[in-house]
Amino acid sequence: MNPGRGKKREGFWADAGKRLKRNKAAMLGLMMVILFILVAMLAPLLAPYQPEQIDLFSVLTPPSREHWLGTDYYGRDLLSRIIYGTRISLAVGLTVQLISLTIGTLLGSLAGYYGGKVDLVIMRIVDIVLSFPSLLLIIAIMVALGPSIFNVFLALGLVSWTRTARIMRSEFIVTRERDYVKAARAIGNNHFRIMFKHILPNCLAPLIIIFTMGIANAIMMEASLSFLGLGAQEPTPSWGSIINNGLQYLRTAPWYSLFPGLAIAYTVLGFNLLGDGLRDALDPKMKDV
Amino acid sequence: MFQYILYRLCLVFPVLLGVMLITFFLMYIVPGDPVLTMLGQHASDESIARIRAQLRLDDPWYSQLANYLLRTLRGDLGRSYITHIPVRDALLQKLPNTVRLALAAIVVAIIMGVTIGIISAIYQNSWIDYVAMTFALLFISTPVFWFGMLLVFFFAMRLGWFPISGMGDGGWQYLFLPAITLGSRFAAFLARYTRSVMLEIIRDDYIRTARAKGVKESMVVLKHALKNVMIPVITVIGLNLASLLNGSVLTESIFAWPGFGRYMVAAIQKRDFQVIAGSVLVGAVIFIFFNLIVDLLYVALDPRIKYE
Repeated sequence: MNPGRGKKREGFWADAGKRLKRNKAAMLGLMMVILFILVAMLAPLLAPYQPEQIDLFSVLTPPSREHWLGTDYYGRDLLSRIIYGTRISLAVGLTVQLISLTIGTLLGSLAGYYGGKVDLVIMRIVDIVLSFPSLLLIIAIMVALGPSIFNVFLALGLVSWTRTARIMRSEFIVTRERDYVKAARAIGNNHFRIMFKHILPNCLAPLIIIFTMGIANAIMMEASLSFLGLGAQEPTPSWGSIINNGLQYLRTAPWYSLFPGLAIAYTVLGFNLLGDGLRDALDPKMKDV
Repeated sequence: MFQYILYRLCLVFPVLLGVMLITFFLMYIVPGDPVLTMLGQHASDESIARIRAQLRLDDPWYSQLANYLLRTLRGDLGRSYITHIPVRDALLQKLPNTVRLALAAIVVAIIMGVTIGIISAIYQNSWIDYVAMTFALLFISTPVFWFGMLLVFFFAMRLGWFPISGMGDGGWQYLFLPAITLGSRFAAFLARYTRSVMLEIIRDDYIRTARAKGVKESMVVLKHALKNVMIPVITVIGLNLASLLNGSVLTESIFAWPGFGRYMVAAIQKRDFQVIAGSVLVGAVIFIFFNLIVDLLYVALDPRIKYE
């Protein structure tokens, strides 16, 4: 190990941590995200009812002491459904980011490291995927695969890796010329080891930013798909599908669609605030990513 | 510059081919039999066989693909399985409505976004700036369809100021809420970007020169700085074109706006695959050409930009 380099990295992360802590908006975002994750983990303890518990004697009741946020068309408790909905959103955010970061990092680093024809082919694939308006491509994939929450993971993951690929490519192009990479090559490391053992750990900062922002985006996209009836199916308590179901009762039971929308806005805002803060703290150059 | 334009134009062809291939294969692997969608569950075996032959569904995939590419290039997008209306004719009828909605949304976005961005930059770090930027982030984080629903609830159902849905006789009152819905998220992106560009501009030398000459502050902003705001406007429109198209699909669903997005969403519910495939393809083609125009406008507006 090179002690000098290790110290420098530590300094970078410590500095970034300090910058992040000073950023009030980012800390608010962090707290919102932590609360969201806690609700998802503790859902069975927090929810007053089972999310699928049907009660036909209290259909579409307005918010009351028994049902804080009212009930839906089947008399299910909306608060409980929204609380369990955090699990769907969290699962979507994490899984989609796992898929898209894996594909994006792999293709982006190959393109950036090897350059030439590999780069050309990979970047043309990126161009083609990016030339679809994302929702249309996701809709087409969902129609082809059939609506289910698992297919939502797959469709969103398959469409959203391009940004990661582009950023990782440019990181690798810069990094592959660094002295320590040349040194690693000179002492006979193979390409795989150089790419993933030497270069990749130095590209962690942009990956963290993409990860955070990507979760917000994935949650929003899942909600949109479920709202169009292409995502999670009944009785899964996805926020988007609750809004969709409530839409026809908008005049008589506005709370039905109101609260799940607030939940989406809260969660996405939390991740966006945190993402903005992380970007400013980790990489001031990376604007508008 | 001409080299760049030529390169950019040539880039369109492989991308178009890729888009057609993806659309074909997605529809090729669709589960279920489209013929049953057309004829219903009780169709006789002969009529199923006849339609399958007519649609060439029993051909090997490569011959289906070749046939698909040829007819798509001729502008034939097939017929709806349900209404039997050619998809191209239906799209030609719906697209102008979507364009109208999108243009109105862009106008809303430019008026709101540029104004808020400039004010935020001038009063940087004041409470005005914080409130404006908080609202911008709030709008970016709010689902378009939910915001549209809130507008319908308050302004159409409760206050009765605007019609709830549809396009009616095409009057502006039908356009108002959908345009605000679609435009507000766009305005938020634009406000954030305009602010950051303005912050750089007002520190530039030529602004200092203008001030030093004794030009009034309002004139400095309006005359000298505003001119340079066109580039962020184009950038944001370019970067968020996908978001505008995505948003129009959702907005049209909420407001029953008879455009391209609603046509496609209605087809999803009826599993009318020919319509879905045609709409996705046309949406992508429109998107590709708008991106091309935005890229070329860039070169025209800023001669420093060259291909990397």
